[in-house]
Amino acid sequence: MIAAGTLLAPYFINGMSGLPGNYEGKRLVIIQLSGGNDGLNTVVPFRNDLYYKARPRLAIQPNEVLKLKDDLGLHPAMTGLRHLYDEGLLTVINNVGYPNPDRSHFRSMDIWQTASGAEETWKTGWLGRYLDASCHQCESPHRAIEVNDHLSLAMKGEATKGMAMTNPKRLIRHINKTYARQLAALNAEVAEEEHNLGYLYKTLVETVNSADYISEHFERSQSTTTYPRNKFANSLKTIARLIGSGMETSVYYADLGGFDTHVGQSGKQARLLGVYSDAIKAFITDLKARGELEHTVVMTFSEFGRRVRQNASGGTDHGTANNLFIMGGTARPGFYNGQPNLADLDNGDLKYEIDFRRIYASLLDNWLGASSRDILKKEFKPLPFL
Amino acid sequence: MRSTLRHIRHLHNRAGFGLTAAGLGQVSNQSVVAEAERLCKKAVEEKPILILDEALLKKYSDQRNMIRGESLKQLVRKEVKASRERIPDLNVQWMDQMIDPQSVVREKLTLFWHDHFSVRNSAGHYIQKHNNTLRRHALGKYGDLLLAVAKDPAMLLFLNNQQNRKRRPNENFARELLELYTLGRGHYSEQDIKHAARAFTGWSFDQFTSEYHFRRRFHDFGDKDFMGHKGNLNGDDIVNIVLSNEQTGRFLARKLFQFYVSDTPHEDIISSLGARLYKTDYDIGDLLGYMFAADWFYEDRFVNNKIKSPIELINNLRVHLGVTFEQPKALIYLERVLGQVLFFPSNVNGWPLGRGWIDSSSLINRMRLPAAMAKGSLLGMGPRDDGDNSPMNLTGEALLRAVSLNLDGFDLLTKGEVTDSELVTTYAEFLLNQELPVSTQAAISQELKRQKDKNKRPWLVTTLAGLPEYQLS
Repeated sequence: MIAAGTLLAPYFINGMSGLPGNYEGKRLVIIQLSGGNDGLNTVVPFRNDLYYKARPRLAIQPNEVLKLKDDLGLHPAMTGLRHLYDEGLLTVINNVGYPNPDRSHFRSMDIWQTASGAEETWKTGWLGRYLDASCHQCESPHRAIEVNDHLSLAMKGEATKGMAMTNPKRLIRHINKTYARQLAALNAEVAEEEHNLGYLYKTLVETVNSADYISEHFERSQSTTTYPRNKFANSLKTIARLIGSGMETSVYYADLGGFDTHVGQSGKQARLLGVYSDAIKAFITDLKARGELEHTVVMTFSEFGRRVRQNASGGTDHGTANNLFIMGGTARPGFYNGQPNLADLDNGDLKYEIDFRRIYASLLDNWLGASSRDILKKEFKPLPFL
Repeated sequence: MRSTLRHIRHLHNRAGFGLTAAGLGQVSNQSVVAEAERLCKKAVEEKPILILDEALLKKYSDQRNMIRGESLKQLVRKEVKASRERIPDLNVQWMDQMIDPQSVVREKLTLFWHDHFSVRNSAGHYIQKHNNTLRRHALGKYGDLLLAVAKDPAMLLFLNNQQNRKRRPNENFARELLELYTLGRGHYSEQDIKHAARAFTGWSFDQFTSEYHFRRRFHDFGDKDFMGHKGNLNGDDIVNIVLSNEQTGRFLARKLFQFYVSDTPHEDIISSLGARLYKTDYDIGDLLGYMFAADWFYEDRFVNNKIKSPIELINNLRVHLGVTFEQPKALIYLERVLGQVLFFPSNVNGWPLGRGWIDSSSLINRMRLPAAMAKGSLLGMGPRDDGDNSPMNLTGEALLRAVSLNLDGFDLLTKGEVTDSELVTTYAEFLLNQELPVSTQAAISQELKRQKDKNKRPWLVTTLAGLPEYQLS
């Protein structure tokens, strides 16, 4: 037993902290655009009359589009992304969705995060199940890090959960504001117990260990790339620094919210896409400069696209299938498939062509070297974009 | 059974949201069985939430024959939008009723039903009506509750029975009725769902009164074949058939057991509870009284081994620490930060259970919360931005600044002069309902010595409420 009086003394629970990282495995970064990004005004079919007919006030005019190929181009705010495309670093996959799409944010987001079908509700996330499968009893939540105050369902497995933090300094500060460190040290034995108190202390011990591990690596790793000054760009900058530190983290998660543009979409979406595109350009450039881009795949998704037709308030309502971006790793650049078919709609909504779980299957099987069959609980044929 | 303060506290933690020091003083001579009886008796009273009129379009009812089609749709949209803004008021009012000692048992059970049915709706009017329906039937017969909920606008809209018509049956409600409200997975077939859905066709409500309305012309009067019952079955018949299946008793018993007793199911107890439910025609009040008086309810394995949901944690803190906010909507900020917002359940399965609430970040947030509240300092966290609960976005963490704690009741826990370590033992017993490990106790006593006299009590109370042990009840 540890003597009384150590409560305020700094105490390292075990020796794992302080070792330099030398992780050389592959990494996956997921970027979530929350609220339902309007894909049709992101990757614009600027030669399609049906697009202009459906959106007389909202369509991006051909002369404004940042043209990528004959018939598709980017929203004018996305010069950063266009730069990446020109460098051969961007893959665009169109018409991604799932059968019987759900138009509720929270439901559709759960479907994307758990990888369930629309008829089922699952309690664990696909990345959490990846953690479970890849290292069942690994007691290191930092194997998957979400840059956020809260941990998303995607990162929660049955036995293992990732951890959420906005930045390593704050994480340490928050921990130090409680007696977490000292309590973890005093109750290391309790943490071995099966009961719920054991689980709480086990979580506490792991959290303190991981926080120290993250913070020490973070301090060692510097950033020389210039990022825009905003919260989202900061998240990506933090992730790049952590990746650069050689930390043994295989999954990172970040999100950018506000895409629910029912009203006055033009200005709002332009601002958000600008924030996304400028930050992602800095991030990819940073990873490249660190020599980490080839070890890192970045996927950007949103829980649904929006309806093809504009609404009466200068916006668009909840829709279905959407486009999705892949960058880095061994991804084959360019357009994976063609533009959405606006002539064949389902009740005014795009029909999906590619089930998003096929993309997860590619990332799991062909990138992370896991078994998608087990993690997605069903056979999905990987999509050959990696 | 030997009755102790530990049992009394356990009863109040589970049947309600804990007991104040003063409250504990009043009942400390009671046997736990007598106290359970007293609590259940009080639960007979019922206090509905009456902030809104439950008929969304009441003020237009004299024009009901003039407003039709597209203009009716527009009116509904406008009223729903205004009604949405009132959801935070409903939330705060319910939170206050939950910790009112007069209504605590019924209110906690209403929280259970809210999680069980897991309805979301964007109109405050319908949410209030649904919530009052849960409250009214909370302690009655489950069949009455189930039918009343199914006929309320919130449920008719949430699971699309409103759109369930003879020519195009919608199976959503029928499926969840069998899967989530009665039998559970594996006890019915896809054909049962199809036939049940047909029985519920034509179920609807009147937009002007919010009352249930059966639309004959959309109802399928043809023969159905549901779980061995054939004939022209209607929705009420379907509900009666599933209630006549003992599996419904077991299914419901399991959920009640996990809410009131233990996250981990114990099959022997659950099957006896299920049998009792079935025999009493699903008398929920009877079951609660039975559980609270049962010896096993107070066994060590069940005391302090249940992880509090965020609503339980917030309300425990309010009860134990006498927390009040100058701006009551600060409560909603806390709900959002901790991840459980009333009227916005996570999904159709309800909220997470037990360990599902705990990860690295949520644990540290929970541990920081009491001390932050005592200082009126900010947590420095934004709640998650969730598109669907946007009316709740109005609450910022600045609201937390104007908070006060009332720790006067703690005087009642000690008599005369006490040493620092006695104070730790006494307060820990009150707040955590258990003894702390010697080492933790000693470390806390040591640190308590260093606090100035006037800070001792708030420091100790918030430190104890910030322990992992406090996450359990």
